[in-house]
This record gives sequence, structure tokens and C-alpha cells, in this order.
Amino acid sequence: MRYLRVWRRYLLISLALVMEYRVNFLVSVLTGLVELGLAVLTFVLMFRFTNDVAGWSRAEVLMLAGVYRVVDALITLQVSPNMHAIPEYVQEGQMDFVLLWPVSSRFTVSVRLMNLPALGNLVSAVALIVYAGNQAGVRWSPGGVAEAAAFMLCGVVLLYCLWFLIVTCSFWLVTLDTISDLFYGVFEAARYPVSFFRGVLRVVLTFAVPVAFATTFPTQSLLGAADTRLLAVGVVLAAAGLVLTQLFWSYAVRHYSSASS
Amino acid sequence: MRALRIVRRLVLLNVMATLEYRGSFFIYMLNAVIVPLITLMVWLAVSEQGVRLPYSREQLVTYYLTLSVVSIVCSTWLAEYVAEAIRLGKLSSWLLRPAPYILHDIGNNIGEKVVKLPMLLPLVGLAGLLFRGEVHLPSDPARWLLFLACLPVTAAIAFLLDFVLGSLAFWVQDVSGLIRAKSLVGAFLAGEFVPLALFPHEVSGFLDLQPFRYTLSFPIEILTGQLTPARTAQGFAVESAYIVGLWACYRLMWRYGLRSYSAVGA
Amino acid sequence: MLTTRYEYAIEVEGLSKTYAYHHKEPGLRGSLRSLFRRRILERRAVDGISFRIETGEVVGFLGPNGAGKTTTLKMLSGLLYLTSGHAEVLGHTPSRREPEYLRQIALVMGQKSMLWWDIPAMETLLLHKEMYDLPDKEFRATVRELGEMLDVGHLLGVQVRKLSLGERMKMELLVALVHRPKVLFLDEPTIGLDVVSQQRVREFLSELNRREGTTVLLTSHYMDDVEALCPRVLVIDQGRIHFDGALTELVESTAPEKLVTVVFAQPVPGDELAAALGGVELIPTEDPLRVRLSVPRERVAGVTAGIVRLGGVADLTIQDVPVEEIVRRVFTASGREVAG
Repeated sequence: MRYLRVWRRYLLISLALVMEYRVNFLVSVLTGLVELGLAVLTFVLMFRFTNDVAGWSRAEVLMLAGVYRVVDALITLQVSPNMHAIPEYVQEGQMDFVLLWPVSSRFTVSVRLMNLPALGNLVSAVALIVYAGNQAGVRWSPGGVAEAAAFMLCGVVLLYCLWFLIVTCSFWLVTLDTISDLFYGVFEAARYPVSFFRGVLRVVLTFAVPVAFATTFPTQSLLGAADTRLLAVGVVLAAAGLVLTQLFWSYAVRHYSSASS
Repeated sequence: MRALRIVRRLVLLNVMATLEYRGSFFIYMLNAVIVPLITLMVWLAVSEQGVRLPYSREQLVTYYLTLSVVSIVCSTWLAEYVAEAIRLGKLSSWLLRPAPYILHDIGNNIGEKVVKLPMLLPLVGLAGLLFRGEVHLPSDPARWLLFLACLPVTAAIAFLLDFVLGSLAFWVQDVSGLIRAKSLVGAFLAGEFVPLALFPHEVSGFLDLQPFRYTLSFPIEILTGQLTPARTAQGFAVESAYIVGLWACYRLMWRYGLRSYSAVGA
Repeated sequence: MLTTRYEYAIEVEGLSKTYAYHHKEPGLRGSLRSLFRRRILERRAVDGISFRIETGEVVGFLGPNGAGKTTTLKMLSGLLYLTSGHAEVLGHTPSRREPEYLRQIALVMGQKSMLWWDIPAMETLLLHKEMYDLPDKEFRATVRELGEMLDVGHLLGVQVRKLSLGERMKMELLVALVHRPKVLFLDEPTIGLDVVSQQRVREFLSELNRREGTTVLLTSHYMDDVEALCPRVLVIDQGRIHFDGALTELVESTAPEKLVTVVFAQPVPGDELAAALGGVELIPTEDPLRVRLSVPRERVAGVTAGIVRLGGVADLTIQDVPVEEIVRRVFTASGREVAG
């Protein structure tokens, strides 16, 4: 398949770039460790006062912190470099080349860049999940892990769609170079189980800006406490998200072609 | 004073440039409210477990709403730019001018904030409406005076700390990792996620002396009424020591740094 | 798939493009005011132009900055939608951006780069190989051939940032041409290059056109590009075409005179010279031995013969008015100042 081969080329290019800047890899792994440590410390401080917050124990929340780090690594690996670059393409006219290639422009702008050093953070994240999971008394099963991975995949796709939707607005708001910050504000909520939030906000975080699929549900899967029906919801939401963003993107490109100079 | 007049001019320039990007800054301001709100919700969930936190519900609400304002007043973003200016030799055009480079960044810092604050305050006001009746601002004018006196000093410490960090680029090839690590650890030790009063007692001596408290937390602590007069006074003493120390650091680094910069001819 | 038949490689009829833009007053007050109220204005970048280009032609697009050259190129390559009119390239409607169309064209912009800065150009070429689905053997043959023609074959493994400006432009051309497009759009391909590199790029383009029959439409600030490459030129200003035809024809119609320069071995008395010239105007020079004349075409033979009869002529040249000057005249006639 042509798209897969194009993606492989981008991967090889990213690999060449990592070789070019080897220090980045080390820096990324070290700052990743700092982030992980601070997340753990936050929860340790929080659970000094109580053993249970909204039905979550300390060990369970630490598992979620690990899951968050995995999602963060995946997003940093493939999503965020591209989302940051899209407003630049529009501003600096690289968009012209994207549109000239006989490949879907949405595909090109979504996968072109990869931040391979982020892979280094997967190790520490998985280690935290295993350690905290054992403390929480998780009985590891291939089914649970697969379910968690499926939830997480839905979650990452949904987060990508959300971010892509936000960034697509930069075709109109050309001077909005911090538009990605909107995404980070939302993503911040993924650090915590959705049940920490009350009322409308919880519903919003589950279905409208679905961070729950990225971290809460995968953690619950590992704990054997997930509602599997939600997986079907996640798949439908992710598919809908991909279609919706495609429509919006085509609309934005049409606007670009009629208004840019 | 000439330096002041230069800064005034630079601030005006930066206000104009910032207005061009008002949309970007508005989003940035949204985030400055959303992220503290999320953290606040989490702490409210903890407090609803029926445990006794050192902070009451009202104090938590007040803490995080104040935090979103103070974090913008005391924000810095220049370490990366300073490092880049040094590394890529962009300093040269500034060195030709009879004004120190730091004025350029001071103007940028103040100019952007002049635009940001009027955008932020209505947003914080809206968030305050969500927590009607739970925001407790002090009525004691002395506390407000102390808070307002503390604010510019805190902003200056945050600024200088960042500037000094970026200036390491005179000697260190790549400071971006260091800058990133500092912003992570700094935010944590400044009380952005966990208010410093919620840390264990055993570390409070360390927390009071480390610099990051004086880049964000200290003025909020004054306003939310956490501090005894003795601890307030002690805090001001530490804060003054930091400002003097950092200024001296800056002067020394730039004196020796520029010498090596010019020697290389970058 | 249906193969489209077309008579012309490029066919354009009444092509127009209108932009809306905001008006902002200068200064802080202007910034503040535009926060609340924006004046939206319209600008016609391209205003009803028509032309046809046959397969294998090389056509130069001449005009000052903002004349509508780049806008036209972008409309023809499908990047911009047209406001009104009709455009067809290789039998396709460009704005549909059909993959089969995109596979047959290329756009090279002198100011923008497709290359990855930190890695060798070969990586970008391999990427294009996958994007355009080029068979292995064909790809290697094309890269070898173009690499030789452009004399950059040995630089394919060198990081792009280490290449000189000229080498980088040649790489840009190689990457753009690796899928052997039938139509090539070039927007200022030699901008910023040194004279030698400009020359190389020109030679390459004319060789490409000769070998492959590639249709080329190029814009340039440098008249040398146009003179060397384009038998036919389109002169465009303020969105309208002012001239469409052979470069020689443009020269003859706009400049009915030739420049004659004479260098004498010794001073010639003024009255003798005036008699020989028969009323032709003298362009003063600083050298008393050098005489410059602007002579109507039909009188060139007579006037030069008269001068030679005076004796003592060391050198005599007859030149056309430079293309720069001609284009300047075209634009002055249309009330515009010319850039470049």
C-alpha cells in the first residue's frame, strides 16, 4: 500500500534526524523521567490526606499516571509535532507543496513529522503501570491488556481528532500560532480519572472532549473494572471523529485555495 | 532616566506587536484559567472525601483563582529566546546599540503582559462566578498592599531567573533540556499543582528557602492569609536576597559572557 | 481510465482572481481601532487574462511585483481557485487537483524549499519515489540522468544545509522533476543565485525542454532568464496581459530603434559628425572618442555607412535595446513603475 510506504519514508527521515541530533534523545528521556516523577509526587502528596478519592486508591491513580505517560508519549511521537507544524505550513506557504503532492493532504500533514525520542518515555511509563498495578493487586491478563490498548487507541485517535479540529482553524486564524495551547488545556484533564470531576464536566470529558477514553477507561480495563460496552462507543466516536475532521479539513483547504495569495 | 525611557518605548512597541496576535494571546489566557481550574476541581474532589486539609474549600478556590492571575503577572518565556540570541549570534545587532540587551526583554515582558491582563481578568471573573460565594478575598487593605508590593518583585525574580538560565548559553551548547526541566520542577515547587501549604511539614524549611516559591506562590500565600507576620517578614527577606543575588549573577554572567562571545566573533 | 485529449498544454480563457483583504491603519491607534472595526477591501490580482500554450513551448511571464504572475501560476497548478474564467492544463481542470493531474505537473518556487534541511536530498527523492509510485529502475535512471544534467549527482548524500545556494536550487529542480512532469511551472527559479548558477539552471532547463519536450511556464525578474529560455513572452501588469508573442516581436514593436556605439581612434570635428548623422540624436558619453546613437531601424544602414566614411573608426557595434529597457517602456506606457 502506497500510504504505508510513504509513512515508512517519513519514519526513516525522522530516524535520520534523530541520528543528527542524538542529544535530543537523552534530553527527552530525562525530562520525561522528571515529568513522571513529578506526577507521582503530586499523587503521593494528594493521598497523604486520604486513601481514596472518588473511589480511586493511590495505587490505581498511579497506574493512571503511567497510562497518561504512555498516551502522552504516543501523542508526542506522532501527533504533536504535526499539529504544531500545520499553522506554520499555512503561514509560510509550505502548504502549497502539501497540496501539490498526489497524496491526501490530510494524511501528509498528519504523519509527516515524528518525534522518535518520545519512544524512550514508554519504558518508564510501562514500568510505572506494572509497579503500581502490582500494588493495586491487578491480575494481568492478555484480554485486559488488549482491551486497555483498544481503549487507548480510541482515546489517542479522539485526541488527535480534537487537536486536528482546533488546528484546522488556523486556515482562518493565521496569526493564531498558540492555537495548540487549547488542546493542552484539555489534555491536562487526562491526568486524572474522570470521576474526580463532577456533573456536566464529567459528561463533557467523557463524550464531548473525550479524554476519558485515553486514560480513565484503559486503567479501568487493566483493573478489570471497565464497562466493555463503552469500547463500542469509543470506536464509533473515533470513526465519527475521523470523518468529521476530514470534512472540516476539505472545507478548510477549499478556503485556502480561494483566499490565500 | 534613559533606561526607563527606552523601556517605555520598547513596551509600547511590544504592546503593538502583541495586539497583532491578540487571538493567540487570548487562547493562552484561556489556558491560564482552565489549567488551574482543573487542578482546583481535583483538590475539591479530595476535600470532599471528608478529610481535613490544611486548606478549606474557600481557600482552595481563592488560591487557584488568584494563581491564574499571579501566574500571568509573574510569567516568563524568554530563556529560550535569550539562549537562541546568544547561540545564533543575534546579539550582535543589539551590542551595537548603547543599551543593554536585557532592556529588550524587559520591554517584551511588560508589553505582552499589558495586553494579556485585560484579557485574563474577565475570564477569571467568569470563573469566579462559577464559585460564587466561595471566593474569599481579604478586606484588610494592609494585606492587599503587601500583596501588590510583593507582585512586581516576584515577577522580577521569575524574569531574572529565566534570563540567567538562558544566559548559560554563553557557555553551554544546548540549554533547551535545562530550560524544560526548570519549567517542570519550577512549576511544581512554585505551588502550581500542589499548594506549598499541602506539602509535609518536614520540608517546609526547604520550601521557604527555594527560589521557586518567590516566582509565584509567595504573593498568593500573602493574599489568601496563610502566613503569620513573622513568616511574611521572613519571606520578604528571602525574596530581597534572591533579587540581589540574581541581579549580581546576571551582571557577572554578561560581563564574562560577552567577552567570550565577542572573542568568538559569533 | 479515460485518457483526455487536448489540443494545447495550457489553455486559459478570461481567467480572474479577486482577493479580499483587511485594511489596517498604522500605529497603536490603528491596531486598537482594527480590533473593533475592519475595513474589507477587494483587489483584482488577475483580471481576465487569456492565452494558450502548446505542448513543448517555453513561455516567460514578465511583469513587476504584484502583477499577478505568481497568482496565475498557482491557479494553473491547482493551488488557487479562480474567481471566474476557465483554465485547462493537459486537459484537466487544475483546481480539482486530481492525482492523475498532480502526477503530470511540478511547481518550483525559488523562495520556498521542498527539501529537508538537515538530511541529504536523497531522502526527499526517495519520499517522492513513494508518493508518485515510481518503479525502482525508472527512478534510479531518472535520478542518474537528472543528477548528471544538473551536475549534482555526487551531492545527493550531502545534508542539504551544507549545500551552496546554487546547488540547493538544482536539487530542488531534481526533486521536482523526478516524476518526469509534462508541465513545469517555475516561479523565480534563479532568484538570489550567483551569475554562474543562474547560467547553469538556464542551460539545464533548455536541455530538459529539448530532451523531454517539457512544457515550461516561468516567471522571472531576470531578463537574462527570459532571453535565454523563452522564445515567447507574456507581459502582464495589474492583472492584465499587455503583450503576448515572440520576444523578438516585442523588441521590434516597442523599440523601433537600435543602439549604435562608435569608438573613434582620434577626435572627429563636430560639424563633420553632425553632417554624417543627418539629424540622428547623440547620446552624450563621458569619453569624447565614444559616440552613442539611437538610430531608427530603417536608417541604421545609412547612418553607419556615413560614419565609416568619416574615417578613423576604431570600433562600431549595433545592438538591440536591452529587454529590461523594453519591458520598462511597456510598463511606463501602462502607467506603472517596473521592479527589477
